[in-house]
Amino acid sequence: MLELDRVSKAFGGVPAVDRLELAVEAGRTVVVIGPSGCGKSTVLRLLLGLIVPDAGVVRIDGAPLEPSAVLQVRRRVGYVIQDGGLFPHLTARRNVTLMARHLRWPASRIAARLERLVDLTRFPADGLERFPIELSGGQRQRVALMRALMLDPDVLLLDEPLGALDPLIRFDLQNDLRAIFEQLGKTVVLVTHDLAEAAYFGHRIVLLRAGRKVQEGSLEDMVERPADPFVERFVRAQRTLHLEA
Amino acid sequence: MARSSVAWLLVVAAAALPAAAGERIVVGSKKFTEAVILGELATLSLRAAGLDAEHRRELGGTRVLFDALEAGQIDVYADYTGTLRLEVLKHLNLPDDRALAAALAERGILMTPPLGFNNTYALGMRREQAERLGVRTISDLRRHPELRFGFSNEFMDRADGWPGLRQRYRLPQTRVRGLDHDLAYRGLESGDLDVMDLYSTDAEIAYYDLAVLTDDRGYFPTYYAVYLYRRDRAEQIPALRSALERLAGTLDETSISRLNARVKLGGESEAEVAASFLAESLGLSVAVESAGRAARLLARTREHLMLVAASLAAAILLAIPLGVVAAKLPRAGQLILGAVGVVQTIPALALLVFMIPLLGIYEPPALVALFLYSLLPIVRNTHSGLTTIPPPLVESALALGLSPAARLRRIELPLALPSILAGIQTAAVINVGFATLGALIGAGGYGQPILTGIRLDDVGLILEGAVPAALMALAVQGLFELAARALIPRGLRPRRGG
Repeated sequence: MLELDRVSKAFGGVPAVDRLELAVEAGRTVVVIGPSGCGKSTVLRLLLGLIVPDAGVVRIDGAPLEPSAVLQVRRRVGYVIQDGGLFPHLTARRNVTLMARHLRWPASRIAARLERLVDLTRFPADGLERFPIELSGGQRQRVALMRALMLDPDVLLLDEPLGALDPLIRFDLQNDLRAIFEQLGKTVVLVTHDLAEAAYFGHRIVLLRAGRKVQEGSLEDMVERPADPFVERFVRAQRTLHLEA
Repeated sequence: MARSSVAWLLVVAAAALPAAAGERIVVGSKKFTEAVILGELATLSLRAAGLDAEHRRELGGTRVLFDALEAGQIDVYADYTGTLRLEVLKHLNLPDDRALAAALAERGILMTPPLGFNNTYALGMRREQAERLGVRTISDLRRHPELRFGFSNEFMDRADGWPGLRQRYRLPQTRVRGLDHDLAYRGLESGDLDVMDLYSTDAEIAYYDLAVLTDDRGYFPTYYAVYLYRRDRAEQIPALRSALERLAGTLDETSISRLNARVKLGGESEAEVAASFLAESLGLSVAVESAGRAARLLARTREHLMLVAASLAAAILLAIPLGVVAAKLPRAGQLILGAVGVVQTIPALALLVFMIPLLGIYEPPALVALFLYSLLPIVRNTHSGLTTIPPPLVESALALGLSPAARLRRIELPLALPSILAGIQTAAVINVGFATLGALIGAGGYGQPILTGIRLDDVGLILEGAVPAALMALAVQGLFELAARALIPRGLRPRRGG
């Protein structure tokens, strides 16, 4: 369904991804993980057509991503970033319903969809009239998720969606997120730097380093059969951190 | 293209204002007291003949008035034969006033016979200093090269003014500067100046007890006061000519000096003085409509608001799109920001003067100048408001699949709104101040009492313009703060306690 075929992209001469191969089947959740600057966010931007590859092809449903079709593709993809990316001049309600209003959905359809999303994300209904600065970090991420799901997209792309949250809220939202993924059966690509989180969400984990894929598989694969010393170090570092924490 | 069409819009808007009504005769006057009195005399005499006449006072200097007459922006004004022959039509080398009348007629302009007095230039000094130095004639000045000269700006530049005088008398002085004629009297009195140019009918000569230096080489020509008027208007309105010509020969040097003194020193209005003169010497009784202070203030406020509002509205219509283009196309943006920046560096007075040949006098040039000055703050704030949107928000708007136009309308402009409003506010407040300069070219507004107040050395009158202008600037400031509160959503306002 989503595919990067030997895609390279460099910024100012520094490669962000380098001849990367990645395929995500419909209805599956793939987690892209790696240290800072490994190119994981670039993967999502390439899939959205926000940046154009220097070499290689991005395919959506088997067809190369063309500039002319990019708006249509983006409307079938929900995107959530670390701090939510909510528009500060719009209330939570208007952030969520922005695209639906732009596409002139009837008000009743918008209301019904919003009600369903509020239930799904367990967002307090009285928070809908608040502006983003008036919401907590966890609530903002729930609004961002509702906005991403509003048009009922086939694909969800999440870039460190829990990165800015404190541990308790993070735990709650992790549970809710996984439940939502399972319930909706979307194709999901989630970017994180946290191995435990990756294992929790992912059918499959892709470990990147300096724009190249180092290993792909389950957490078990990486623990039991690390492809190279870097994978070993990465896994060990994460475990030590979690023991101490 | 867009800019010039906006400029034309302004011109059309201004032309639709009361200035040009069909049968109404418009009398203009230069910006010194005697000229204003002569303008009042003509206006009242026209009204006494049953004509509809309006006096647009203090429009500027000779060149502005003559050009406005030729262009048909005014129908009548008073000038001096010497000025016309030796300055305005200098290139024709006219030998006498008969040749002058013929040359004017070729331009469609008629001239009345002289009103009577000869208001020639003269040089004056403080009597005490002149006696101490033994200066009685202009030739005597040659022995005192250290003396400081202060001349009216017009006298400094005119061929029949300082350049010719210096040559004829071989005057050695180097400390010569140009300044406003009324300020020069004060400079002379306070001792900052030693010698200034005078009009021989100035009321101040007697008041300050000045020594008038003899023109011993006969340099200054005769300056008989006359009215100039348009021939086409005279043909259209036959009574125009007779109403002006009946003033010919009625004013000698003593009478005009007395009228000047009653205004400048006695504090009477030009209209009152002119009306009483017409009653005494011609037996004409004319009602002087003297607007009260409140009515005057209201009229000035209306004019001032019109100048500010019309120029600002046009500037907003052009500047916001320009700011958007500048933000979207960085290369064009450099050009746009550079161009509006350069406009800002042109001094306001120079900009007004540049506009006169293109747009004449009254509101249009003032509107265009104010419009141009308003562009920079709005363009710059629109540009910076759009280019400082945080990248995650830009990316989120893109990722939603909004088209470029929808992104601009739904996301980018609303996010830039606080900055854009601040730019408009800056432009508006600056505009209120700049608009006072519009009075220099007859555009009215709060600058009018300031200008008249400077001419008459009347602080009360200056304050009558300066105080409302300051209050209006404060009101505009407050208004925009209210507008910002109403228009900027709560989510964009800084949060209390952060």
